Amino acid sequence: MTWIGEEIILENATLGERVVERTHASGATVAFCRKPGYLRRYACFSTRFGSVDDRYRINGGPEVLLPDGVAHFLEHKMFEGPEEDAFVQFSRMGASANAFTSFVGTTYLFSCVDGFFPCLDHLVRFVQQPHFTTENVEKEKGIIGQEIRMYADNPGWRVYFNLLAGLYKNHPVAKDIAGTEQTIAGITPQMLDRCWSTFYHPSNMILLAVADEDQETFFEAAGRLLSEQDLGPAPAVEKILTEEPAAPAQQQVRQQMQVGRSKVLLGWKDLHPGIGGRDLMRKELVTEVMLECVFGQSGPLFEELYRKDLIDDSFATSYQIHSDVGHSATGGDSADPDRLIDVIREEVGNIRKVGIDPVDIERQRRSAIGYLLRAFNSLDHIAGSYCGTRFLDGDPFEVVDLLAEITTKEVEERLQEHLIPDQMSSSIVTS
Amino acid sequence: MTRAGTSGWSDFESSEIAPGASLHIRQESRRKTSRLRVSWIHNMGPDAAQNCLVPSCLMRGSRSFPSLREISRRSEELWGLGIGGSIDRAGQLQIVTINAEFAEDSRLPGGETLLSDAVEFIREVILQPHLVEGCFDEDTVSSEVSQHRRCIEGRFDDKRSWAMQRCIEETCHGEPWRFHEYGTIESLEQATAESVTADWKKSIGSAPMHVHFSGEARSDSLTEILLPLFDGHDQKTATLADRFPRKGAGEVRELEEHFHGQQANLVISFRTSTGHGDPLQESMMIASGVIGGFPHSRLFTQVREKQSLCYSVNSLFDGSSGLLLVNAGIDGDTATRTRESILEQIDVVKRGEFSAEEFQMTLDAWDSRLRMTQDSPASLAEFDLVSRLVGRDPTIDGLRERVSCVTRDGVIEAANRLETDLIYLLSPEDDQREDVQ
Repeated sequence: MTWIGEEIILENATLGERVVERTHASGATVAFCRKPGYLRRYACFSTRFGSVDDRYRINGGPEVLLPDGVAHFLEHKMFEGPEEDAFVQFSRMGASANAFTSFVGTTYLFSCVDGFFPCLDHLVRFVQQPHFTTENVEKEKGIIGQEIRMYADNPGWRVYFNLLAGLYKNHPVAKDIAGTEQTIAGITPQMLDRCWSTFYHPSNMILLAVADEDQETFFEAAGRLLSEQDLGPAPAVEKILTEEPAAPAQQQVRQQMQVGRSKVLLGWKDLHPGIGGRDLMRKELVTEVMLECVFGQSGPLFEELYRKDLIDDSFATSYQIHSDVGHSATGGDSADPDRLIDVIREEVGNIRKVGIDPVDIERQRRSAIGYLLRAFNSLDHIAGSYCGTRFLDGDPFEVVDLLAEITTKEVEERLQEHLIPDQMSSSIVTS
Repeated sequence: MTRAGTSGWSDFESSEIAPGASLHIRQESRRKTSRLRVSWIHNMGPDAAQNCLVPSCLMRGSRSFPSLREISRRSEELWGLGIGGSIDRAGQLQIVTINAEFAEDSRLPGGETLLSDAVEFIREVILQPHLVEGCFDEDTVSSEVSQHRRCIEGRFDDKRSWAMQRCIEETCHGEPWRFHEYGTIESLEQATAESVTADWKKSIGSAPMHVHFSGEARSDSLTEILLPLFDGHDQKTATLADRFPRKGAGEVRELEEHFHGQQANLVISFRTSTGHGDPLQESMMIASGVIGGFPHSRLFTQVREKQSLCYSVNSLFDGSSGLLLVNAGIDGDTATRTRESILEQIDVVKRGEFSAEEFQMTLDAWDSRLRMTQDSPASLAEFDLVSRLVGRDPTIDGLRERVSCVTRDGVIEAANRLETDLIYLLSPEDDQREDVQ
């Protein structure tokens, strides 16, 4: 039997998108989204193993603690085969391939115009055939060391990770995804092998195609590929969450480095243990609408900050969920980061006293539909949105219904409970 | 691998609305949004910064929506219409653009329509800005000068891009390629409310102008809707400078500069003596691909994967200036070794010691890249515009055809035209370490 359980169809008429999802006998989630007329074909194979998964136990055994940067290191090493690099085989087929590690997952992907199915074969096979040797693991440390230094010289990256360090006291989300040159120094082939066996079991993975291909041909190919290797029953992995206090770790983190423009971010910490699926998506959407009303370009604050020359076009706001924690962040480049923080702190206090105008919320509902229509043109966005929401047991298209459902009261309550000084930290990078 | 057939998707249909003003329309039924791009073309020079202020001042308010906030509110009401300015280049020319993207009428709930309102809004932003006594508001101009100054200063924050720009500046003394499209702070400081207003009038009145539209709407009614975008264009179009000749390399030079940081950036510039309009142009594109354009290329497989000398390494060929740049993010201590390794790989290509497979993979990768472009109206519009400006056939299929005709001997011939010009290193100071509190 190739497939188990019921087929799930996720769709939305406004967005004009439909994803068909099946569960393979190995436990893998396999999904297909057809994009008629697009020449580019895209597929990804994602595992729920990211940088925050640093502690776990199997079958109630002893706790395993991983050094920072293992998930990212594993991502690099998966491309290395016994004969040649997986990239080269993709190139031979005219495809381009890539991979990325986030806080909560690792994704391998390719895009091509011709030869979609041979590329799909290669994607599934190389991610399921690790090849770790002492020599190739040691060699990778030099390459990743340069990647770490590249990000260390990127002030936008630094201001963001310093904000996370300011917000989170214990949680691994505060650590750099690639680790440090010191933490990766101790990584061994055996450690990578254990991580792969634990977290790359098909039951922990999603295989998704966004392509103008025949749906049943895709499921037939995916079913066959996932049946090639019997990895046995899924290991009983218990990810150990790190207890995190509600208050930020530090009020402010400052870093001095040579920059052309000073960078600043303000963040408000949020915890949501035990929430998932629709409830978490609703919370995310309500928060995003609230943030747009407070910090967006159509609000009173943005124009005031812009006129005072405290911000520029780079000023942006987002709400991010990572595992059981999350935060709102706002900021960008600024000529006077300290003053910007003071003004925002004061103005957010004023906005909380006045509240949000329901007219603004209505306008944001309308605007968000346009944003979603733009975003769902992109194959990469569809894949990112699908995998991101499925990792949280959500439905990527439900956002349209939720947009219609959310109330002014909810948005107002979110403003009052979330943007409070006690939950705030800030990060500044300046020369 | 199928190559050089037609991609099946149409190119832009172009018409000249007035001398120097062209409308390019492409019907696109696969997407949920329409895209509109309005661009004005200027000669690149030291005063490029002043042109950059025009789109940013336009985004600060129009006659009916006289503030940034009102403009933003109107954009949101128009179903989240995205609008913004951008500055790009095509060789020695600067491209100043207003871009917009908005939902297709067919996608909107309740039978609402948007196209006419969206174009009218964009037209007003461009042609009827908020003026005070006939000029942009002084505070607005002064604030945008300050914003753009920081934009220029902020270029340093992307070290790779900064190192590449510094290498070009030092390679191309006396050539227009050395100018950055954002211009210089010195010229920015000359800007006044009067001068920016004059630049705006000059742009909409006499700068060569291109409007690209891609969307579901049929071209007969669409042309009528888009024509008012050309209202400000008069019959006298400014002339653009003649194409600057491409130079060869002199003696190989070396330059090292320092910054406070952790990773060194090595950039090597090569003169290729080829480019747009030259029969070897496509062969040089493929030669650059074999050297360092893709993960199968020699710089990635040999310098990065075999020797672990870097994380990022690639080569880039610019058909306008005729420069090929190789860049790598490296440990400063290995700069000499990395440089030797890069030059060795280029010699391998010059000697023709690359495999038939490497050659074929590069042809296929380029073909695939070009075909994928056809899914992106923004990339297609850019390709179309840049092609027209540099004198290249503006069809993707035309370029695919020329690339498919490149031979292995052509790649070897192109590689042998590479002359090293400048070896530039941006390296960390010895005594620095990051300081986090």
